[in-house]
Amino acid sequence: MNLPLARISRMRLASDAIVRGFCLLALGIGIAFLLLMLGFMWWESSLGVHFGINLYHFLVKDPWAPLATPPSYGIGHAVLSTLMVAGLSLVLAVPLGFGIGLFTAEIAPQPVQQIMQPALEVLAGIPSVVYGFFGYVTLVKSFERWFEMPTGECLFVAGIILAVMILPFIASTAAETFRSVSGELKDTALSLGVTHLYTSRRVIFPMALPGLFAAVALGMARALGETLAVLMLTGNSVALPHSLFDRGQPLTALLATELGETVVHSTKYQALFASGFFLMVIVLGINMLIWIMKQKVLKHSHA
Amino acid sequence: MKSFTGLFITIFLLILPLSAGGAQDAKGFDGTIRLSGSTTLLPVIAAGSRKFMEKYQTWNKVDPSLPKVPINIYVNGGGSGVGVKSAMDGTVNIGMASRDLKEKEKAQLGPHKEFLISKDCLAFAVNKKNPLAKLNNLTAPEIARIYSGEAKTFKDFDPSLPAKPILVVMRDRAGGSTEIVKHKILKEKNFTPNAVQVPSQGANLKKLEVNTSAIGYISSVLAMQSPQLKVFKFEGVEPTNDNVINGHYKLTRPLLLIVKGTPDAASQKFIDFMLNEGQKIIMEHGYVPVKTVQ
Repeated sequence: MNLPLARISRMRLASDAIVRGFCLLALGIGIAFLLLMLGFMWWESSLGVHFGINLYHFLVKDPWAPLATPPSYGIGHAVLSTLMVAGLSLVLAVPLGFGIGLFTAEIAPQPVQQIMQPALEVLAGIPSVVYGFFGYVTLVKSFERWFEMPTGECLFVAGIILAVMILPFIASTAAETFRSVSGELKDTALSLGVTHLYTSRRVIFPMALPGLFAAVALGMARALGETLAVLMLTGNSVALPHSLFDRGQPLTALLATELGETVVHSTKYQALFASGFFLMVIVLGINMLIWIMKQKVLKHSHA
Repeated sequence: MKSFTGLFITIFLLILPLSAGGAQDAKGFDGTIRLSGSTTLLPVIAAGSRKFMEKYQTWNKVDPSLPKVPINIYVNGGGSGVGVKSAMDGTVNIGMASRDLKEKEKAQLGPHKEFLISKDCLAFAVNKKNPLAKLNNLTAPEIARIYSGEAKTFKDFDPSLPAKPILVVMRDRAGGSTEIVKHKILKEKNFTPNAVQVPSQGANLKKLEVNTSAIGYISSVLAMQSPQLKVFKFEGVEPTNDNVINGHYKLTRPLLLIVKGTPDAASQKFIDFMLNEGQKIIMEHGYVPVKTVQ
């Protein structure tokens, strides 16, 4: 029996086990944090036990009027505002982001690439209050002038600024994905005599599809969770928005506005935690939807 | 790494409420006084206590009869109701309330002292270019028509004015000033859902200073200082500090410090400080001082 070899392999096994254990622990903590947060929200909102509000009234029917007698807590306007603003920002940012990603990864010459990538990262690092303030002094003012609105804050303005905010996330993830498509595939396609555009469209894009879903999911999560910029730009009104040019109040803005002075464990406190819970449910739900779509598309493209 | 930081923050947040408990032993004074209650008063009292601690550091420097222990003042929020309740059950030395005490609360407190350290006063104001600026006075029913959304345009409000929409600006519904408007003006009516909610006093002022269709309510101290604003009389009374303190101007609420029984020596010193030097801090926060200080 060769002792040294056995010892080495045992040591390797041990160090493998340690690394595996550490990674598992890290993963466990990460997931536990998500579950703890969901659990905490659920618990504080008393949704399971004695939630003081009818759920249908809470999510759809009632207006948000905590000062009315009797007070009424409904977050329909906020759910709708959140979906409208995030939806608009995705519609604007996804095509642009994919375009920028493809350009930086495939088309742009090396020196341009070297400038573009860090520039996108800087854009991603600008604090949201700066974006919010920028929108407030430029777009809000212009909307007042162009459309003769009494005040320029509306969901549309918030959507535009939000699109600019999530653009770098989508673009840099997309660029990364496009870059990771194997060079052999590209070379093979090009050697067959097709154009660069055709290669991008029929070879690189399908290969990059899984990563592009991740890019959209990332941008969407940020759009749904953004607080300060939308608080400044949507007008923070509790009316149900009928169009993108109406004022609204996304869930995050509702929470930021109301939570500060709420008496702990009051009905309003429960309502706010329930709104937070449903915001998380919306984020998780849409992420799951994207995941399911990804599976469907991938199965389809491999068949 | 991220999840570790998250974990630490969670642990910190879990421990935080525990450290806030614990009543103070009257005999072995350890230099700590605790306040809790109104979130309106919280920033003012927190600023005041910082100033107090910086100035004196130990209690014997405040008054030689007090022991030589470092000054620790803990200020917590929770709302006016919590302020009264925690003064009642002795978890704090001083409760903070931004409203008058209810009769029931007074009865439960038994013998107690209320110190009026300031008044929160709000005034209705518009930009000087606003069509409403030609008026001098607004009555409660007039304001109620605008804030409930019955009068949507200037023309609805007064047929001689243009048919432009009025932009109703309010502080967030959680704010105390919003409660004054609800209870003293709107009464059983509700705020129009179309109102723009501004999240801070500063944003409120800015909005009124730049927007010519907006009407809003704002701390009278701030409003009177702004050259761009037209400040309305309410029911014929101008919101000057004098009118606020003598009670002629009605859109106010008291900012109170509440002590069960009589205040202990250290708490009394801090209350005295807020009633004198502290008045300047109160003005800086946009509230009306009860005493004039230079």
